[in-house]
Amino acid sequence: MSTPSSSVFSYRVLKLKSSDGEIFEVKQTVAVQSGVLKQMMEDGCTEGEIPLNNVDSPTLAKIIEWCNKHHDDDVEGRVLSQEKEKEKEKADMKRWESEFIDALNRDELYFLLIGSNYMNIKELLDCAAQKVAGMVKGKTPEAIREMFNIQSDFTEEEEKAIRKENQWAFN
Amino acid sequence: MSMIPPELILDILSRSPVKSLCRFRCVSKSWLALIKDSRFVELHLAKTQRQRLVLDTKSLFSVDIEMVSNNDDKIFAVELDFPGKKLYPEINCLTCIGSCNGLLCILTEPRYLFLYNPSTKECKQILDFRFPHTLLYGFGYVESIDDYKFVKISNPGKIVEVYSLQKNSWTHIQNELHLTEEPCTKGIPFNGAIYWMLNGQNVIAAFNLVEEKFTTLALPADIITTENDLRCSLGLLNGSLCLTTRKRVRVNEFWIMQEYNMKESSWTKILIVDLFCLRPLCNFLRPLCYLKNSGTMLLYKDTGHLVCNPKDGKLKVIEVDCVRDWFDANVYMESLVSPNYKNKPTIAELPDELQSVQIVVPSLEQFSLDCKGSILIDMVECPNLMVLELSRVLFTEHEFRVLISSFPLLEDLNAINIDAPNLLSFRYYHNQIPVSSMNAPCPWEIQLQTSKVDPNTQWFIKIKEFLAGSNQIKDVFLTLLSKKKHSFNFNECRESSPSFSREIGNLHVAIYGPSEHYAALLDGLLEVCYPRTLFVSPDEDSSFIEWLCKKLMNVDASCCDSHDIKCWRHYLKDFKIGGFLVPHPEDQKPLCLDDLSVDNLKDAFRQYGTRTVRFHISIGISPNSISRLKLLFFVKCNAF
Repeated sequence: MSTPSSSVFSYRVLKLKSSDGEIFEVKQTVAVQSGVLKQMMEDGCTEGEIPLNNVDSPTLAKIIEWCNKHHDDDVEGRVLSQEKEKEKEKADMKRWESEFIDALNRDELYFLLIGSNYMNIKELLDCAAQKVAGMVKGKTPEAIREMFNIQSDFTEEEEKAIRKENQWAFN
Repeated sequence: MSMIPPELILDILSRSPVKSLCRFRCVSKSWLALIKDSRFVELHLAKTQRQRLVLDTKSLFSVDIEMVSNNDDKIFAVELDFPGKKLYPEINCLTCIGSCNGLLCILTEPRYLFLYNPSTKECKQILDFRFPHTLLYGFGYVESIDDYKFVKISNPGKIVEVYSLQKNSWTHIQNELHLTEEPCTKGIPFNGAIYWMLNGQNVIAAFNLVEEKFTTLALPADIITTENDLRCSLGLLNGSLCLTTRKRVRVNEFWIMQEYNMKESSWTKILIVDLFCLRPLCNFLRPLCYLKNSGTMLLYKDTGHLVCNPKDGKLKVIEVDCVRDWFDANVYMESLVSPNYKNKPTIAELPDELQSVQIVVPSLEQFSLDCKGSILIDMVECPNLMVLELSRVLFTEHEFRVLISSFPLLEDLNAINIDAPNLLSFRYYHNQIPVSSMNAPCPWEIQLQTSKVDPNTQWFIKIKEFLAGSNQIKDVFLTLLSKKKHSFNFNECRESSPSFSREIGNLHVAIYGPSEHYAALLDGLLEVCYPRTLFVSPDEDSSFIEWLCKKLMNVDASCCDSHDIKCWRHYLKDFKIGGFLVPHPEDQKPLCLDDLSVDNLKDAFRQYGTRTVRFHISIGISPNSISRLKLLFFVKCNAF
């Protein structure tokens, strides 16, 4: 009884403020996909601008694009008469998701990953993390260090030994 | 280049294939430690769930099932370079007894026993193994005790021999189950037990790996009554126990055990197949798994073939390239689980009267000791120890120094120096605040109590500086025992620690002291940190909560106008009582009181006071962030 019913806040709009100060207006029904915003709505503290200090405006725009596509407001409105149609919808969504993610460059992807983690949007986080996992797969340690900005702290001998031990994985 | 936080790196790596992860061991020391960490191994296993097939014949072959589809007439298998063969070149035949979490149990001819992870190429021989006259045998895993066990029962069936990987030793148990002459039968591991189909008795035997006892399990009721010449076989499908029954000639029925409670009613028939069109003729099909791209079953045919079951219902044999001989097939999971396994910490509980203990385990990596009282611990002969957890152990400073002298990283508890950028979590429970230099960007949980010292300005400064070491502080537990009257000096605090208060997740405070100390304690607390949630547990009554509510309702912010940096009053935006929780065992749901306000708080206490009550109050405290302060009160009152 503490949670307002969805119809009550479906008309309301949240004002999200990106780290660089841009304001984005998002419908509450869309914003519930973010765990953080959902919690704030339940706590009734969404008046005014909500500062998102870890998300810049290009990333926030991408996140909102994703959430707009995924919010099921209009799906509920229509009656999907057949299983087939549902399956097609699912497949279309999968295609849209992979096109959305594939269109990003590496930095955009990283920011999206960090932003979706910060805003706790599980599906987007999953999708972005899966994409990065795909990029990571089969890479050499050198390429990984470059990708994640890591300095190797092995001594030369240590690195030689650990490489030798795992040599089979390099073939 | 943006920095990806460690918890996201962890997420990404937990989705990566094992072979890539074996490469990534060479990235850095912290990645090497992470990939070996038992919690990461578990997370990875749960997240990736990548299935492969092992075919065992004269040697071992592996098939990537994710690539197999119904349209395939032929699939490719890769020969595995089984290390046991290098050890014993005379090995000419291999049998996979079972697989759990990516570990295969391999029995060879001549008789040796191995645990082998084909994904990481690690292999371990199980010694003291004899096989003659074996009736039943099997390999299984129990999550609750985190152990892998091999079980065998030899003719005449009186003694069960059990090998535990954790203990790396064999035990012998008296068998109470009556066994008729069963041929050598391989068991199926499922839900902490190993199951064998005993066709002579039309019953399934189950050996519970925790209790190490046999039970029996009935077959589906209607097949027993209708069939005279019933033959059954067991397998695993999608993590469930799967029974294949041969009904009439050439017809197989597949049953799935839906529930774990071992009742006959929990069997569900999932499929009937006609084997008539399959050549060569066979008696049994055993389901292996569902193919990812079609959702249909891949099955093993007892003539040594793989069969798929396309949607049109016609069974089709799939040829395996490069495997010429008869083979058996088992599904296994790609994983990092090591057969040389001592991943989980050893936990020792010692009797209270014990005075000294010497531990000599050169391979020991993690050790937890829970022991009341003072005790001398000598761990010099554990040079590989990486994690040492000591709880409730009392030391003199000298004893402690002697103990930690064998671990150069831990020199002085008064000063903690941690450089662990990939640390998963950090917990600190103590009554002293250490001087610290910390690089541990992970969730922190800090528990401090002032049972010995009265909290004063210096004490609050020390906590503030300690908490400044992380921006991911999840929980802080403070027990404040205030006996002497003191005043918290804001100016003194800001002079010595000019930074803003750290924003944290939850602050849990218990305040014991007379009410005239409240104001100073609150000032100190809110100078130490700005919590998003505040839990307050008062000792006897609700007086501190009521005082706090009034205080927060009527904030007088004319206190520090002359300062550049101001106290918490200037950042406090709002607060309200949001809810009322009854943490009763059966009733954990918050009890919401819509009209609850500071004024009727007392009545609410009176009404719900016989149980523990939780308040929920919201305060927006920092103007530049989405954090807000919730006050959650625990009121402990006496039960009836």
